[in-house]
Amino acid sequence: MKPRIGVYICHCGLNIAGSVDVKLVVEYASRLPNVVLAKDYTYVCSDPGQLMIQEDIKRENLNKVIVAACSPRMHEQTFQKTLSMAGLNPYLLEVANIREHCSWPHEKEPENATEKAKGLVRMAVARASLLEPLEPVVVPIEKAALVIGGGIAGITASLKLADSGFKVYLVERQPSIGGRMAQLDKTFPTLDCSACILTPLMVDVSRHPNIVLLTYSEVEEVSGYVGNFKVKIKGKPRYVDTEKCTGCGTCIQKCPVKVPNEFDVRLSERKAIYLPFPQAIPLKCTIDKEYCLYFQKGVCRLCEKFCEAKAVNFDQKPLEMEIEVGTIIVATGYDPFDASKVREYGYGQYRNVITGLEFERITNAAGPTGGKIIRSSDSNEPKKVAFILCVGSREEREGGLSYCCRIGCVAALKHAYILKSKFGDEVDVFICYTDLRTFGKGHEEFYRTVRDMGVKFIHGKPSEIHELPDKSLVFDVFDTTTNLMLRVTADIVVLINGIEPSYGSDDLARLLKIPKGPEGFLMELHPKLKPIETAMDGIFIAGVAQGPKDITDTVAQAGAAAAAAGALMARGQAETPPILAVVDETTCSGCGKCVSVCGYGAIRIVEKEERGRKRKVAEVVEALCKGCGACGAACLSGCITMRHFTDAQIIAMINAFGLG
Amino acid sequence: MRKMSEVHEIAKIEIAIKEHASSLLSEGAECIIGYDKDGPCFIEDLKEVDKLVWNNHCIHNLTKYLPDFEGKVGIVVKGCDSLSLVELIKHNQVSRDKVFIIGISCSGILNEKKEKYKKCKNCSHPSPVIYDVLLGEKPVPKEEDHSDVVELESLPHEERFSFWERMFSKCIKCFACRNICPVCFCKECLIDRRESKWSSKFVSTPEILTYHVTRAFHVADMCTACGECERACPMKIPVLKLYKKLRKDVKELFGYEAGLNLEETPPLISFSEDDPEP
Amino acid sequence: MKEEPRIIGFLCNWCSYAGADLAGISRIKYPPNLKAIRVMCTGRLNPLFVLKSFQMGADGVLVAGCHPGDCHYTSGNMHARRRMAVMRRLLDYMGIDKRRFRVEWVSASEGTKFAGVVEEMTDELKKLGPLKAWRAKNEKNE
Repeated sequence: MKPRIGVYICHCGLNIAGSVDVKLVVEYASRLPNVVLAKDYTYVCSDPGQLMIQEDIKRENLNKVIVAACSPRMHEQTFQKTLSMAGLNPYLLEVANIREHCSWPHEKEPENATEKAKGLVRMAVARASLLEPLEPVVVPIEKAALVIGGGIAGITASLKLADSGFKVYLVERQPSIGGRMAQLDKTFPTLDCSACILTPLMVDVSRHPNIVLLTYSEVEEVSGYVGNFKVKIKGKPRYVDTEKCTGCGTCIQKCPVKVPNEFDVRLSERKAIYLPFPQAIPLKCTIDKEYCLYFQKGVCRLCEKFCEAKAVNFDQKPLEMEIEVGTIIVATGYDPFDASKVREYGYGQYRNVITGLEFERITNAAGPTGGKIIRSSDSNEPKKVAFILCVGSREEREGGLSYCCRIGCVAALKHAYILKSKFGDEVDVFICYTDLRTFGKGHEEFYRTVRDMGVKFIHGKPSEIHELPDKSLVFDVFDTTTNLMLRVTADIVVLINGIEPSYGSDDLARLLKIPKGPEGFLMELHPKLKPIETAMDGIFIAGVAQGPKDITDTVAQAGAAAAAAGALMARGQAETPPILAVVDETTCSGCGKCVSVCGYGAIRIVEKEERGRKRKVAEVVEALCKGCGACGAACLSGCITMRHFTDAQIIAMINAFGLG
Repeated sequence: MRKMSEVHEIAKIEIAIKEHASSLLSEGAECIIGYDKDGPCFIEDLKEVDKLVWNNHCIHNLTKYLPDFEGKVGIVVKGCDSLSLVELIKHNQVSRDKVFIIGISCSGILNEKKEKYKKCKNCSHPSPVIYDVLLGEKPVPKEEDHSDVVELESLPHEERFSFWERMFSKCIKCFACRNICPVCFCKECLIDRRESKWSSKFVSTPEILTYHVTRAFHVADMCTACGECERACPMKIPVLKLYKKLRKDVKELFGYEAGLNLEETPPLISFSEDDPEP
Repeated sequence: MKEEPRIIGFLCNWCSYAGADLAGISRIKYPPNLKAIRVMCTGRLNPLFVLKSFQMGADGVLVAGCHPGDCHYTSGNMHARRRMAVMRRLLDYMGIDKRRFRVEWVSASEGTKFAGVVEEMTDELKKLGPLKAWRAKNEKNE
């Protein structure tokens, strides 16, 4: 059937029309081979735009459509649906990118932009002439979700999905869920007790019939595709039988080994057998193999001796599990930036220079000081506390973080509030800021409240902190509001340090094949419109794993991810694009090059009989084929056709490129 | 004049070939691929075994014929031929257990003018690397000679292109080079496929160059420099100068030489984390 | 644009094509000399596409994919890396200066890098001049 191509040039308002002369492109397109219709329109993706295409398809018997507009990564699916609704196979659409690749970067060269747009349309027409209708492969969706990360984002998403009736596997690598929020004392700006609002949710998770809680576990391998992910999970051995352990804590009392307590940011000690914190879920003890005397030296075993429930089991093996899920939500959170990298502030050297998280633990009643705000060098209550914002954040130096942590300013205000409400005028509080970013709901009012409490705000960043003989600290800072160089002495200096994606999120991203953004956080599909989707269908991201944000925004985003995952699973089936490899058996020599290069085991050599002779030929396993084309390029004979990205189509584009 | 010991040696080998051929055929082999006085011959009958010869005119690479046979086959291979055989086995074109390899160590083959073929002057594998029986005295291997490649590499780009343009202006697209090459085993050549628009039937310089670059790239990690392509070319085009460049690059980039090891995976269908940048 | 160098860019959907999009979204200015052909993965690329590009009029060819180790399809770009290494040397041997054929790794977040590569290539190709060798007659589109 002879191609009858309709070409639509979008203005995208002035985004394209501002630099590309769309009328000239329309005129050019109308003269291209096989083009029966060429039009321009302000917003082709709009309702009337799409309607126009549908009407044209029916009236003019178009059998191929080209939309020259924004990137196909933006709207290819939109226009594919438009074609479907007009009864045309969605794979008969070609998108020419004349915005992201043309009108925007070449804004200042309108003539060149127009010429380039013509060329891109010409190439699109060449390809479209060779496009074939394709039917998508329909796959059923497993109605189960995997949530990776048991912080507030993971907990929120799990509960929402579980409440909707889906089975949820919540995997957390620490012995307990709770994440960073469990370490906080109060949350801004309402000053709720963090544990009080978090713990009920943690308990809900543990009790929910639809949630399978896998703590002290890690995701090892992920294969498959949307609706049908196969995930291998390794449960690390606690050396404690969780069925028997009652969380009574006797073993902890008896254990002779003291270990720095990570939960208290090493401000206190725990034992080799331990509960991460009193409200841990699950409330089961864990033996830290690295410090346990039995594992290190073969002695002790006191915990085993005194455990009434006989729950200690030194022979426990890792538990390997394989689960099948339809969707995955990644909520792996953050780690604080290592403040010792900012050497001029002396973190790690001066005892009274601490980070914001350490201050949280100090103010926390369940923390290392029982809630007493004292300094670590002499256990005295501080008379002067200085906060330095943006430590490690918004840094241009190598090793620093380029971005804003989004939570530091209001966290500092919260700490200041707590100090002032506790000590009143007995304490002097200074906040050295570069900016005060209090953009959230209730944050501006909170700032004014804190300011009215007499907290001193210095608009400047100290260059260097020095320690005095009594372990107090002193620094100079230039305040731009008063144009004065100030010398500040403080009993405690709190560094509000930045946040980074959790360690190991790199490897996880690689396992899941989802990209990371320039700052290392997991990359969303579109910064404005698709903040929770990723490049992999069926895998969503939520919380600080996607980018710095506070608890409010984390909970909102986790809910969004749960809704998206839930919507997918509720549909019951998904369509995988029919961009697959096809082997021409009659000409295949069975050499096996394609099998060697396939990263998915989706092609294999089988024996076929032909005219009494046995032959080895390649065969594609469609369910596993991702359409990457490695086999297509490996086949020297050209036996393998890559649907929708055929050699002929690519060559046609190359030819068309050369014509102008 | 050849030494008496050499003549004696050649005669011994010929006798041994005939013996092996007879016993293979008696055991039910489908065919023996060897040489007769005119060139390649296919012996299927015990009575014809006497036709088989061995002398220093046995230039043909007989492995080209192997993929056509389904049953057990005996084949006479020289050192250079054995490398092609290794590649054919690696690529599923020949089953190792279906072929009985009569390996002959040779010290060079002479052309009609009784001169050694160019490829035999710098033979790096005079003894077969794979065989079921090995006949003949093993000569000393020499280093593969890349000087002609290096010479071209030293020319400026325009001159390089002129050289190839001149070379291939004589090409008549007879495809003898492809047809005789043992590792060109595709059932349908990409160049012949009309639908994919890779090539057309024109006999024009761009088309000719496309064909040769295609073939060179395709055999890049399989070419064993057996030289049959050059020998078969009716226009006497020194095509080996092109394929040796690929062998040289594949060796430099990936440390790989075709035909030496059945276990080694060809580099263009494998990769390593620390591959060099293109 | 007759005297301007013409560059074909083979970009992979998940990384370099998205990186090129980002360059546009960020309004980074770079020369208009490159026209992109989108493939799902650089592993899809038959190296002979590069030859075809030069024959059909390209003065320069860019193949840009995900960073090795980060391929959306696990290893497609690793195969591309090897294939293109061989083809680049072969084409250079046959008279196409290897500076005309570049292989770069551009992630979805590297808009600036993409623009920089196009800028560099355009400058270099202006110095090298248009490719005179290897041109073939262009088939009319059917």
